[in-house]
This record gives sequence, C-alpha cells and structure tokens, in this order.
Amino acid sequence: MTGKNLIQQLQTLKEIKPREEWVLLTKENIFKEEPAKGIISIWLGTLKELRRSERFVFNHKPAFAFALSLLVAVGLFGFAQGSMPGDMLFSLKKITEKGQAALFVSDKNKTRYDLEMVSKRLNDIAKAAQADAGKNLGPAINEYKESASTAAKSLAKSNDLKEITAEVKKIEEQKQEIQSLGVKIDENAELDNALASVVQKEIDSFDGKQLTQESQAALEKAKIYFVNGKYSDALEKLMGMGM
Amino acid sequence: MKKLKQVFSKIYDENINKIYRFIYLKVNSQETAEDLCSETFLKGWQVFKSNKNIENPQAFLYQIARNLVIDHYREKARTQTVSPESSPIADPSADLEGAALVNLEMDAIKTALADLRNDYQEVIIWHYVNDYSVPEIAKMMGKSEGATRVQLHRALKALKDKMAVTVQTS
Repeated sequence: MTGKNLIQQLQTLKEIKPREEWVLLTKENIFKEEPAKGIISIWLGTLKELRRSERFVFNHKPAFAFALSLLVAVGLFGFAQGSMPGDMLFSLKKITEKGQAALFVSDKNKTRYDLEMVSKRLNDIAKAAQADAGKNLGPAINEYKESASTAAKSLAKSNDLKEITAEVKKIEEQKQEIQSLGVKIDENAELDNALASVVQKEIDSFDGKQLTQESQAALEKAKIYFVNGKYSDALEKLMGMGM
Repeated sequence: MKKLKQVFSKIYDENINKIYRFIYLKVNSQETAEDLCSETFLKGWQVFKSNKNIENPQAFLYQIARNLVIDHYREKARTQTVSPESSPIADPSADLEGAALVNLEMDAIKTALADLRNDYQEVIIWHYVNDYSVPEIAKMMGKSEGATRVQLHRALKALKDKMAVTVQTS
C-alpha cells in the first residue's frame, strides 16, 4: 500500500459524522438555563438541608451531646466571671479561680496570687457597696475574710518581699477606698499578724549588721511604720535597703 | 451572557463534527462518542462562560476530549480488558450515508488506527481526517512545527506497517 492510498483511505474517515438531531439536541442542552429558583424551591431546598443536618446530628449523637455540654459549661464559666459574691454563679467563678491556681500558679508565686485574690475580693466589696441596696455586700465581706485567711497562711511561708510588697500596698489602698465608701470591714487579724511577722522577721535580719547611715535611717523609719501597723510602708523601706 | 453564548455557539458549530470524529475514532462506539462529546462541550461551556480568556478554544476542547477518553478507558479497564482487536467496530450510523462507511477497508483502517500509540492516532486524525495544518497541530500539541512534522511522518509510517499486517492476516 502506497502512502497516497493510505491517505485516501484515511480521508474516507471524514464521512464519520454525528447524528444531526443529536447535534441540535446537545447544543440545546448545553445552553439550557438553570431554572430560576422560586420561593417554593428555595423552601424545599432549605427543608432538605435541615433534614440532612438533623440526620447528621442524630448519627453523631454522643459527639454532639458532648460538644453541647462543653459549650454550655464554657458559656456558664465565662458568664460566671462577671458574678459577685452572693450570686448563684459565684461558686463557679471560685471553682475557676481555684482551678487556675492549681494548674498555673507555682509555689513561688502562690503568696502573690493569694494576695491578688484578697485584692479581688476587696474590689468586690467596693462594687457591692456602690451597687443598689448593696445586697452582695455581706457575702463579699465574708469572701474577703476567707481569702485573707488563705493569704495569711501563704504569707507565713513566704520569704520573698519583692513578690508581696506591691500587692500589700495595693490592698491597703483598697481598704482605705472602701472605708471612704462608708463600709467597715473588721480587720483580719490573721492576715495582719502574718504581715507583721514577715516585717518583723525582715527587721530582725538587719540586727547586728553594719549599715550605712542612709540604711540605718531607712531601718529606723521601717520600724516606726511597723509599730504603727503600716506594714506596706515598712516593707517598701526594707525593700529599698535590700536593693 | 448572550454574547458569550453566541461566541460559544459558533465554536460548537465549527468543531462538533471534528471533536465527535476524534472521539469516535478513539472509542469505536457511537453511543460512547456521543456521551463523551456532549460532555466535552458542556465542560467547555462551563469553563468558557466563567473564563473568557481561553486563548485557543479548539485546543482547549480537544484537551477536554482527550481527558474524557482517558477517563473512559480507565473506567472500562476496571471491568474488562479492552483491545482494538477484540472490540467490535460499531456501525456509526444506520442511514444510507453511514452505510457507505461500513466496508472492509474502512474497518481495516479504523482497526489499524486504533492500534496505534495515542499521540500517533491524534496527529493522524487531526491532519488527515480533520484537516488541520501542521502549524495548527503544533500549537494544539504545544510542540514545534518541525517536531510535529516528524511525529506525523512517524505516525503515518506506523499506520502503514499496521495496515500491512492487517491485510496479511485478513
């Protein structure tokens, strides 16, 4: 077979053609517009989607129940953060605080954290005193006492003045602010005693040591503050000497 | 949109016969060729209406057709083994015009063509059956004109050899 014959034979294949009606029908189908969606079809589509979602939820019941419980719990705990002593959700707030303390607060920072809690409770008292009728005031004072007691225990074990000085100062300022609002808080002897003990220990540590004139003056000042029960001022003076 | 439809309608009219023939010669079945061909244009239209910057619509349609044919054979291979010798050559049409095609010589060349390598098949169909020039084919294949000419020459030689074997055995 020559090349020419082969090409002639190949060209006979040009006779292969699609059916005319198929060509027209295909063209028509290609350009056929998608039917416009009416309200009913949109509604039916939504229903179908809903049914599908429902089936999905049903098929994954345990997972959804768990996720929902988690969501509710997270929501409740989140919401509880704004609650005040005496509110229903306050116990949840305390659980969160205790959880945080257990998980994220090291032993070294425990005293400072407990003092921060005292400061928070004093803040609650201030808020409760300013709020209408002050219904949360009583529970807030109780919570303060409880937190002060915990902080006193931590203080008894603490030697880190740097960690506690700022917090003690803040607590004293808050107390003054609360007094200016006309609220009287019974002094927590436990916390005061613990603070006094820390300051006393620190003053004693300078006994028998040779001090510069400036340090000696600061120590004397600290002693005066200590005698007057101004523990944060005494601590500030002692801190300045240690530096 | 209307303008786009007009443009694609023209592309359809100009290419439907060629694309159909191209697919038919690869699948040897009228039904399959119709299915794959309509799918080719449908996909082509979907892309064309969303991306108007198709540089060479003809090459683009052939590319879709080639992919569909490959997918078709891949799918078919899962259920049965296909070879050009074992697959019957379908009667492309039942009308009188089509009947003229059904003769021994025609069957022989179709069988030989189907037995060639894919790229040889394509270059022969494009040039000798669908009447594309060498530069047009080169552009569609993304090759140089020289390389396309060489490929066409080799493809024709391979087909000649196949035909010789077919004639001898028949």
